[in-house]
Amino acid sequence: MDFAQTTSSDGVLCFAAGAAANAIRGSIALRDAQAAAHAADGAARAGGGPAITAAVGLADSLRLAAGLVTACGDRLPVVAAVALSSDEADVALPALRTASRTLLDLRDGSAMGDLAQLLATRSPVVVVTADSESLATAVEGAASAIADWSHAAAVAAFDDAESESATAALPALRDSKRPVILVGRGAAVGSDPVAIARLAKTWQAPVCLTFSATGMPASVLGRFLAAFSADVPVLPAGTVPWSTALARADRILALGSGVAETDWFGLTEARLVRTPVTLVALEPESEGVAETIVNCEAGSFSMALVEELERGGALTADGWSERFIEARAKWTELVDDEAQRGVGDEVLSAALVARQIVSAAPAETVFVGEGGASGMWLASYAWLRPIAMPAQHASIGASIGMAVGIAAAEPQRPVWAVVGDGAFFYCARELATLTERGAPVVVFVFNDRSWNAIRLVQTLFFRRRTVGTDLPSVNYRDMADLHGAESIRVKTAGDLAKALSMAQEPRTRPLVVDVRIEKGAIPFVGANLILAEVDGVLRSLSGAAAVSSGVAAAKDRPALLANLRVIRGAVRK
Amino acid sequence: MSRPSLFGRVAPNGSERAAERFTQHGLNLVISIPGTQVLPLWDAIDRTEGLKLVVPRSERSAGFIAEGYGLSSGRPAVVVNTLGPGVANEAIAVASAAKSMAPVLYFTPCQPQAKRSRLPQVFQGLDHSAYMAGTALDQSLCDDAAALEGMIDAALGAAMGSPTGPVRLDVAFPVLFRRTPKFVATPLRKIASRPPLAAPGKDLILALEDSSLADGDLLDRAGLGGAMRRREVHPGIDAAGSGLSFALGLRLGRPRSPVVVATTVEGLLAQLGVAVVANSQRVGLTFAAFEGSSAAATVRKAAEATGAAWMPIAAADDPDAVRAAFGSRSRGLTVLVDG
Repeated sequence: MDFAQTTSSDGVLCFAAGAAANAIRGSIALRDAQAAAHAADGAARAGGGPAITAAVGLADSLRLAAGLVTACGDRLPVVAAVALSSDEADVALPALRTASRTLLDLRDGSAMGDLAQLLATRSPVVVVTADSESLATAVEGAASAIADWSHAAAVAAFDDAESESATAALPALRDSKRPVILVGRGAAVGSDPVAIARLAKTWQAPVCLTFSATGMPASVLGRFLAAFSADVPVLPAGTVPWSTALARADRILALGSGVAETDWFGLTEARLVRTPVTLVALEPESEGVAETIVNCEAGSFSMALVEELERGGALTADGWSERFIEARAKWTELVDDEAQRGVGDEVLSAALVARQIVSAAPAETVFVGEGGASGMWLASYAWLRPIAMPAQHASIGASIGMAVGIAAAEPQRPVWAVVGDGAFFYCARELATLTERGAPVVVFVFNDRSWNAIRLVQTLFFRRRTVGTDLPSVNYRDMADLHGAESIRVKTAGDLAKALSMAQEPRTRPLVVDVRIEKGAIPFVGANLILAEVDGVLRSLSGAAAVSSGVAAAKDRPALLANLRVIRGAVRK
Repeated sequence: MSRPSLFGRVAPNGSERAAERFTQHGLNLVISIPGTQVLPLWDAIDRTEGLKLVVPRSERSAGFIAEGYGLSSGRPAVVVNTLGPGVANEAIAVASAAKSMAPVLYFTPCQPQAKRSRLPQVFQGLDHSAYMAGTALDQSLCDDAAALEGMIDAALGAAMGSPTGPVRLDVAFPVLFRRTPKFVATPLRKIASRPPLAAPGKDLILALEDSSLADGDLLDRAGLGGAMRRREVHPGIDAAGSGLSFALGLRLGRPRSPVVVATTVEGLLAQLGVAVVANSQRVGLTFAAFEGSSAAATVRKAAEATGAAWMPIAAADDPDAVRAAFGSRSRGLTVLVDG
């Protein structure tokens, strides 16, 4: 296969760095192998089809493994092909094996087998070869094997052999009075949304999306949402209505093997939420805190439960589902109100900036975010629009690399990325890759001169002792210029309007928008991630949290009050 | 070890005990990229006299700084990166330090035992010891607060053993957060001292990003260091894009030795974040990008964008300029431009 001839619509994309880029004709060359793995992640995440990344030698294979960890957390269909000598393999293979779910060592005669099915259920897949020549052959073979891949077709190849476990799980679900359906990425992209929608309607259950499902490919998202009628609330991850639904449910039906504890407040140490969970997944890796595991395809199980409910009648409490439609509308109103508040002379509020970015982006835009505060701000406003963001690992520094892959996989769609100033330098050099490729990606740098997500935890638990979280001032316009990108600096609302107008214009190279925003702002989504991080010490931190909140309230009223206004308003509803 | 608070004296938590143990062993440099789980340690470092915290711009950079520091000082730096993806990002630097035999202590928060059995379900869950099985010289795991000091001693003993190299100590993060009122610290087990592997005294250190950049005439061509003994060092494995981090570590570990790092223009552009950190640390360091006059404008622009000083190599004939280029503790980064 000649990758130079492929695009996302008629073939498989391959992203490589260094010697691998030279060895694989037509591959997309990045500066760094970790960024190449992020690019494949982005292409698979936003494009929906599988992508390949490749590396040669020890150093690049370890860099690639680091990027692959993020793709593995969200179970993306990525093939990572590496060429390693025997000595190099001793060092790198443990990392590659841990960063993936399947490792195929072609050096010992293993075959790639049914790669299509592996990508649907045990992704990512690492393929190990001995040298550059065999690497190129292996990549070509993998590309041919998955050229016509579709998640749904690969999943359909499974027969529901475990139907007994499905039948046994139905009665407890039928008896639920406050059910919630939690949809993971696997179910979102691989199962029939009509079946899930029919279950939600029959059961009168709100539908909560996980962070990774919220980032389903743009082409899938429209079809998914269209399956649900207006009286079924679909709630994006991390919002207060989403949290409330999960916290007040008496039964969570989690669909998809990508669903993790964070997605249902699995705070096992703190025991804050003890809602029983029924997990429906193909080949779940571990039970976690799920009460019941059903090995079944999510769409098939949804239809089985619909039949059960139609036979026996649902017992759902009156108004349980409808309340979340109102809550969702109220939430939108609250966060929009907050966005209108914050404009300073030389600095803008993060809420305003995020709101304006989402409003100005063309309808078909794919947003790219990452695990820090900038991504959480984007998620606060870009809900139910396509957003590619690392969920399970909340990795930082991936967004520019991911944007390279998304721009290649979805060339017809605008790609707008946000990156925090703390994470900017992880993959900044790939701006030059975007320039070389003529990719008109827009990168907004949330420049608050701090590691803001970390500073937030210092505010909440360390009495606002902000040790180490201030960053030196950097002019990101200059950095953009060095990589051949266009750039603009934003300090005022007028600057922001001008920058957004530039972002909407057609161009042939990337645009970097250096936005000076307030320090210490607290995003409106992502509380579940903070809680998940300190699960294990939450009880022992409760005293510290109380004191810290008092100190923060005295010293940092605007940030706390904005958040409390939104949360209080949403919870009241 | 207890310290005063608004509510009387409070018992130390594991982070405060760890910071204290580091200073008892004479360690003084902690390099760290933040995550929630490392914050109690940052708080403790800030309260502990003699410990310096350097915050670079990626975990990979943190690891290469530590490798350079270990080689030039003969003592380990402590690298504290966050769990999950943070650990994955540092693996290449761990492998490099293993090859160059640089002593480094990677002190990492990890999930508590109850969560480690189902890591794929856990937020940022990654099996650290499995991931690093091929790279680290030695690995251990602390779930028991009472064992913390002893495990730090043992890990440092392994880092300074024979051979020297990078060791990892995972510590369940509840151990780092929770206060331990009745702990009794185990007696200090002193670690062996080792001479630094890089040049002693005031010898000039030439840091090469990788061995392919070795150029015996490099300094002579620049008119630098002709009268000085010098030693070429490079990281254990190909460190394209990490040479400046390595050189920053060399300089932090050997403040009296001038350090020159040689790279390409592409290498310089890949390390702008480290240049910002090196400059903000005010650690005198010379960064030479030798690629001829065609790249000179880019190099100058990159230097200015990071706040570094720059000078053309031709000016190095001037003794004052040479001293400036070699840097001092009061200056930041100087970039030499060939052209």
